Amino acid sequence: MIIGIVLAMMFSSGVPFFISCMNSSRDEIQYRKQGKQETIVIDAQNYDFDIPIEQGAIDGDIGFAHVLSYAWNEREDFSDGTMIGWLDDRATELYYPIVSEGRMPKKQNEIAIEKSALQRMRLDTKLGEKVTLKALICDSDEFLEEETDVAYTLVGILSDKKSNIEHFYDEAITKANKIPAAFVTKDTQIEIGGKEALVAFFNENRKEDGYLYTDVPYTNIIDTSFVYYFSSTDSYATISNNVGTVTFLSVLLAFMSCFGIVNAFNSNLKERKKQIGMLKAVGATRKQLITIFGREAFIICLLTAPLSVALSYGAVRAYANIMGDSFIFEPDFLVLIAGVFLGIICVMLSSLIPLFNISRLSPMQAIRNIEMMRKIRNKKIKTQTSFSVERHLAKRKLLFSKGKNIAISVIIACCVIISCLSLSFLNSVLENTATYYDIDYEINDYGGVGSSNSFINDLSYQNTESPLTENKKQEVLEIPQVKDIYGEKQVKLNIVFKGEVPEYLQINEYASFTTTSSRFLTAEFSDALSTSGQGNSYSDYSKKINDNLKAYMQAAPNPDYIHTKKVADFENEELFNVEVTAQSSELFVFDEITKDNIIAGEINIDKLNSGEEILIYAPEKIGFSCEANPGGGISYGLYNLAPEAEVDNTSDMVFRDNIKAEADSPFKVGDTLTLTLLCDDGNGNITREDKEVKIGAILGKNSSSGVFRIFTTLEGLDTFKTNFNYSIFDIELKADCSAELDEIMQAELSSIFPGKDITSVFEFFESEKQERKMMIISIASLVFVFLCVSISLINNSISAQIRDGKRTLGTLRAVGASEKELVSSYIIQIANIMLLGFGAGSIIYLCSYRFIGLIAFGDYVPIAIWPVLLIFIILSIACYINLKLKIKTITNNSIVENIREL
Amino acid sequence: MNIIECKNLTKEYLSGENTVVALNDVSLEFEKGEFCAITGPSGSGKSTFLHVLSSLENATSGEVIYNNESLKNYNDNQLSILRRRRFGFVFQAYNLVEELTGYENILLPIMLDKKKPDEEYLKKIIDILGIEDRLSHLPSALSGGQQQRIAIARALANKPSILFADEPTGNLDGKSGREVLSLLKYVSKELGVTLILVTHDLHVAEQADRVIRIEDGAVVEDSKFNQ
Repeated sequence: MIIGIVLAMMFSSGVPFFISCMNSSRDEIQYRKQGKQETIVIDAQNYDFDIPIEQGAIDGDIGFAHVLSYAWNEREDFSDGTMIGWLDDRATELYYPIVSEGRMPKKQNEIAIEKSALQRMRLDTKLGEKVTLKALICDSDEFLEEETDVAYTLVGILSDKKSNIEHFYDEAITKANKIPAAFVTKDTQIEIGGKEALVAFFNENRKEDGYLYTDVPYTNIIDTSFVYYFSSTDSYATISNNVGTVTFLSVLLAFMSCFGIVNAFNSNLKERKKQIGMLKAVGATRKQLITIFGREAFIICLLTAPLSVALSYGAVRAYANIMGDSFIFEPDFLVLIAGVFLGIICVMLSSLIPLFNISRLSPMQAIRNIEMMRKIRNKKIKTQTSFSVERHLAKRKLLFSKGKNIAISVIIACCVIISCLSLSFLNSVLENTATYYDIDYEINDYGGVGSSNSFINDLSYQNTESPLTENKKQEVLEIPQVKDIYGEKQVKLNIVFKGEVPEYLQINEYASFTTTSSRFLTAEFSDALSTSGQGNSYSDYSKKINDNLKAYMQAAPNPDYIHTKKVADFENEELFNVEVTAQSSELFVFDEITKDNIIAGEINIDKLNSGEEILIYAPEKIGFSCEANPGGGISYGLYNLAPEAEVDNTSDMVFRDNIKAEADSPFKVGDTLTLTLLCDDGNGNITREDKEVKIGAILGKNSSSGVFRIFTTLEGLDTFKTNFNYSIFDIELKADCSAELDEIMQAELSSIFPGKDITSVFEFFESEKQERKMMIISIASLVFVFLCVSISLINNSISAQIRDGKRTLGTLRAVGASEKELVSSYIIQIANIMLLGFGAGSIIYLCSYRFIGLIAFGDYVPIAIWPVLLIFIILSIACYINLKLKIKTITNNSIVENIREL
Repeated sequence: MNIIECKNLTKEYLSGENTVVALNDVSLEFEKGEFCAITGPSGSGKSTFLHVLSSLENATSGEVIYNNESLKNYNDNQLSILRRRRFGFVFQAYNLVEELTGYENILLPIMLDKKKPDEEYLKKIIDILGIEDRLSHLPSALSGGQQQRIAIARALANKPSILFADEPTGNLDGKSGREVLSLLKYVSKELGVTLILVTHDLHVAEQADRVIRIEDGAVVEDSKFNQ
């Protein structure tokens, strides 16, 4: 019983500990990635924050980063530099820089730099070494013209923060450039002639939402709280879901443990029923009995509390340690007290239930065993004239202890559901990550695609700056470790329509919020909704979207489009801008191009190569979803609405419920499309190349996206006269990558593609491995704990039943039952209880795994049968061993001892 | 002809740091069909003797010989089979299995032996014991006397060679006690079963063919009567 109490207290007190750990860890992950501030204002020296402070629009003090200069590696690109500055105390508190190596600067000319800034500047400086940079000194919003050399001693490498913030959303990239990623000592003076720029960090008082924006333009604000709220892919969101899950599971564990306590106390009091009867017979009142036995329980609680709470604390601390630095478990005094109290209260309440029940019995009821008479009162017992003793006895015992056994079955069912879901989730994670990539490195360059006019390809970039050339491809192939390199080209094409662009493609244009590839400046519409103005509340934004989406979307003609039509001589036609993806025919394996995803037609490589045909990605029905965000801005998406389309995740489903416009595809296999390739030679000379192609196949049967695209082979693209460089290189190694090989390859590729981001799949897998490790530990701990609790409860129940039936066991032994027959009888009982629990648990798991998985893990969990079998085997073995040991203990005693002890 | 005998039986218990000698070098022989009463004051060791003799408990030293074979050579399983086939037990506290009805309790040793019950024989015992109308009841619905009759029927169900009875009338009123005793005596004579009975009641002992008196774990008197 003591072990049961310790376990129950451990799990009960673990509830506040775990919640505290998950909460602080969630916050810590958020703080480490993005800082503690909710809002960042760049060029803050231009604004007066006194009024919002006075009016309570800002919560607490404002912290400032004092930006001194923009610095870059003297031998490398200017654009790959970073701002240098220092944080005042409040800014340090809010921006929360994390030192991953070394320390923060303490002396003049010492510097600590964020990891990605170091990489961007291609500095291989070690800690303690000098770093010399070129710098432009800040002059408020601008810089002084003269370049200066600055030298610092690198004393610390910081975890990325600025780079994380700039990846919040597209607009943040330009804003975040003003945030320093390199820090010098506090109070460092700016060079003579310069003027510090300021970056403000603060939290807003949400009651005064929107006030700040009337004074500070949206273009100078980075609303980090918006990102925390909507971020759905990072660990912050994952852990946010987990807080709810952990709370639910902790409470469930505590409940199960408490149930164990009720069982243990029940069995303990049953053994002492005669004693209670005697006390009642000599005049003890119900209150006195509850006091006597309740006090006993309380004393046991107090005695076991230190051990239980220590175990609980240790378990959560161990969990946090295993999970890594971001997992923080520093419970304050209140959490500790809450843990102790919750533990004691749970155990006391659990112990009082059987105590209340037993104290209600009359003295004679307690002294005489009339329980059996009560139980059989409503049960029809039919005498059997021939029976298997083991089976018959088990059946009768089950009949007389139905209520108790149902509770055990419920516990087993809970264990099966939680454990199977956890293992299925783990299984799906492992399966999904195991075969994710076939390549080892990827290098991207979208410079050509992202030129100023979205309808015209920028040949000056192609001819001068594009790094992914055929020559470079050959250079990569010459690296001895490389097996092959695959290229992909992305080019802007326009489909020419004699009349209006089909509704289907207009809906595609709606989704071009952040680019200028549409005939209309939808980005301006986005800004109009998001930036300051009269009555720009959340409901107003939503109303605008709902009332007349098309009118708003097409309100502003795109000057680039008007210009393009004019210079390319398309006065009477309309152009629909589309991205064409071209891959080598031998590697024609786009994600979307699989046999399953073809809606109509077939892929004929020869016709693609000859330029006669193209493939289009055009689901049969698409929908545009758009809604205003409570925190500002708009969320939108273009979805495949065909019934076969895969739904990626929960947020996808939510957006799909807010479809504002939809259309059916007008395209058929064999239709002819007129394509025009427009190119600017860099001197304003526009070339136009028209081509008629047939639709060879239509893709997009089951993919989630609704964005229209064109696919062809590299050879097919080459049928246009203009030659383009690559947008993506995928590199495959001869051997499996290792840490050493990765280092060599990164160095080789960096020398061929200076300044380009090289995506290493090995690196990605390493971080995946780490995440998987954390997940395996978490899930294994969860399953382990649930199994332990379940085994402990089942075994408690078995032990209690064996203790209760010791005299019967003695009698059976006396009349000739062997140990094997005794064990068999209990096995049949346990098998019945377990099968009921397993049956119920498995059915619930199999029927509702999608729903429960969504609640528990925030994602759909694919079904797996093996966890049910695994849990069954583990529970069965554990219970069998316990049963054998318990019966062995009984049979080790003499029959007389069995009979007499009761 | 001896059916069971014991040689130099000693049983010691540990009570704290002290050793209590419950049986001290007891050697006895019992003939087939004999009705033997073992008497003695409380705590003399008479029940311990019965338990050790019937293999319900192990002796510290010495041996029990049944049908010329020492029980020391029997393993747990063999002892279980011996108990279910050759021995019958009647306890002071009846010790019926609460979950089984009266008839099922009677059938218990037969069913453990996976044999078909001899219906005629069982009917005869049930008739003798007068429990026909109580067979379908659970023990908790029976009086002490009725429970003890069921226990006697169970002890005799497998046609044992020896019936061990430990204070079988101890929990019964005078009338029920007398009835149970005469039943025991009758069935043992009728069925040719050796009856070894522990009692501290002299009136009970008087009815035995042989009375053994035990004091402080040792046999102090062994008298045979011709009745």
